[in-house]
Amino acid sequence: MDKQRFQAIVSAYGADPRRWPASERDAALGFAAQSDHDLAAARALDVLLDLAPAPPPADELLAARVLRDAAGAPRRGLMPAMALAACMVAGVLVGYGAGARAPTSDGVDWVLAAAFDGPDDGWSEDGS
Amino acid sequence: MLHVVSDPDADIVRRIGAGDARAAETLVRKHLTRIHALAQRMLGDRAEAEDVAQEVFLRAWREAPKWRPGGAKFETWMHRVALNLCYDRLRRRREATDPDAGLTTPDPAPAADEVWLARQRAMRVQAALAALPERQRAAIAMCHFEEMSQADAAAALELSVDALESLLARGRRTLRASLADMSETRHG
Repeated sequence: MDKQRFQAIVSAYGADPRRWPASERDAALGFAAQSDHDLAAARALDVLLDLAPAPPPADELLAARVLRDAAGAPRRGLMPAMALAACMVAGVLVGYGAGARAPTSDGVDWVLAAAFDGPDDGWSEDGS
Repeated sequence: MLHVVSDPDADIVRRIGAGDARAAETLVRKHLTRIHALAQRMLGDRAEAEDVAQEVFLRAWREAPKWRPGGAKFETWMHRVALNLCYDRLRRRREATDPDAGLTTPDPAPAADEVWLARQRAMRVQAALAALPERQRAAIAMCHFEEMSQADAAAALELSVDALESLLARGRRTLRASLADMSETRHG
């Protein structure tokens, strides 16, 4: 680690050591104490970037769409009857999800639970 | 020498390929939010981001039965697919009549309170990110916001780590210039 490499790290990854390359983090931290100016400039941009709005979380309807696709996807060793059953489970799930459009605090969790925790699972539990 | 990557999702993908519903659930629980967030940051449009995320997982379900561990991590492959789908959509946008579709611009409404100011600042930053070249935006989305490792982000972008660093540094330099007045305001 030298000053040039430290500046390259900070220019690319910012001032937070969590984002620095793990293999160079300790050496760079040792250098940080002498590099206030470089760190301050990078930190100022980090702070601004963190003002950007966070994307809304993926909701349960999206999870339902994704899992519906999974139910119809090809896989090794799946019997046709099981594929049909999987499609039926996904269809019920999507219908249920469409009736509950309001976001929930559980995010995708309830959909996943509803899809696979019931006794009518169309998919194999062990992949056999 | 062959470089073998240790993939924490290798067993999950193998089980998905064999038709294991729990494994599909696990993959969705682990990665849907990140894939959706990356697409949202690239496209600035929730509905389009959802379509991209759905397409990524559709391809994942198709890929799982034939996936061979030892190359890229499956998560990295998913990010790469997501980025390529985003690039396609951004290219189609550029070719369409409205080049700014999906970009967010500051709200002109005059209401000088703290909430409004905070929202304006957030939208300025979002607009600056949206104005970056798409690969710089992707690099910053993965390394700054998603805190992916350098190796994983570079693999998703199909770049060396050195090239990733260069991309990040150029992106941050552009952002610093375009947001300079905000930085002065906050620290002045």
